[in-house]
Amino acid sequence: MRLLKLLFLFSPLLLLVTPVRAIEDVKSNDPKVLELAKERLNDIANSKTNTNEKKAFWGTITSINNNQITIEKNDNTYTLVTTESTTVINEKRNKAKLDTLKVNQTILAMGTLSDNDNTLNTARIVSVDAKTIVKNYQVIVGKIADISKEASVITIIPSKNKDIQYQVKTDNKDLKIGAKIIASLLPDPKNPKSFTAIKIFPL
Amino acid sequence: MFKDLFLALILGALLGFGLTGAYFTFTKTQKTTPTPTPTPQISSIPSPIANLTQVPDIKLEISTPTNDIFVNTSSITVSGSTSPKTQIIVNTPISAYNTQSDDKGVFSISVNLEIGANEIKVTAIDQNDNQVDSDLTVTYSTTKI
Repeated sequence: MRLLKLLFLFSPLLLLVTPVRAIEDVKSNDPKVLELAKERLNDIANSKTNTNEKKAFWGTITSINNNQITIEKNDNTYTLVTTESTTVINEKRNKAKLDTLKVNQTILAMGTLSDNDNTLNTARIVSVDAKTIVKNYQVIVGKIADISKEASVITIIPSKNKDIQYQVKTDNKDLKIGAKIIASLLPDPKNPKSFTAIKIFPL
Repeated sequence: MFKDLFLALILGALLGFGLTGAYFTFTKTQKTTPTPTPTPQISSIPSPIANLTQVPDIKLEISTPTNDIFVNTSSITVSGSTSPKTQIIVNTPISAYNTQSDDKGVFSISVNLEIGANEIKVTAIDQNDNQVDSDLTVTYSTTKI
């Protein structure tokens, strides 16, 4: 009985120690804890904004089943849910019927995102040419090794790989040999080794 | 009876303060004592494999716009975070734009879009010429959906 009384009297002392530990945990500056908290907050924010968000997916039609069209782009699969009010625009920019869409056709679909991230409640489908969308931009940082003024072509050697040379068409007349630049380029569709400068930024 | 209670209270208080004090001292010592870290050994033999597999220590996170977003305006703001004082290049089908991240690595730039699907490439290049890209698609249309 006496022992029980002593235990009873000592038990509140545990409270002196445990709250300190709890406060320490909350004030933690551990990057992992902060990262987890950030991810969780992002998840909560995304879960609230996904539904009814206006989105557009483009890709190649892989299947058409009743009111569902499946398209693929870069190994991603999207499901397009269509209704009678879904507008279809063909390659001649005329309105067309849904049943004119065919497998292997490339389309751009616009609508609102459903609860599933890859499913679109589709309002509008436009037939497109993938070649006009895919740009294959290249951005390189390096030095100008040569300037051929007659042909408006410069030679750029990238900082990170001096074994490569880029032949770039540009109408920029203010460039100098040896200048360090960032070049935003588009490859020539007919010759992937030849590039056209979208813009050149001197450093 | 009262003597026992009094004795228990005194002992309890002493033990409690002792334990709490010991805990604080222990945690404080752990925080202030520097942890010895191994000094990185630099190999005198250059390794070409190490150069080829070196991963640039540069991050790039795009806050806006989100990928595959549909917009009704011809101009959007591309924003995000990367390393401090890093060059940012944004390529759109209309043009290429550049800006620099601030001391905290935050950047924001307005870019123009063309009608239809716009492939956008955001490139960050740090002061050591390390480079990282992020691609996204933004569709611009004046049609209401």
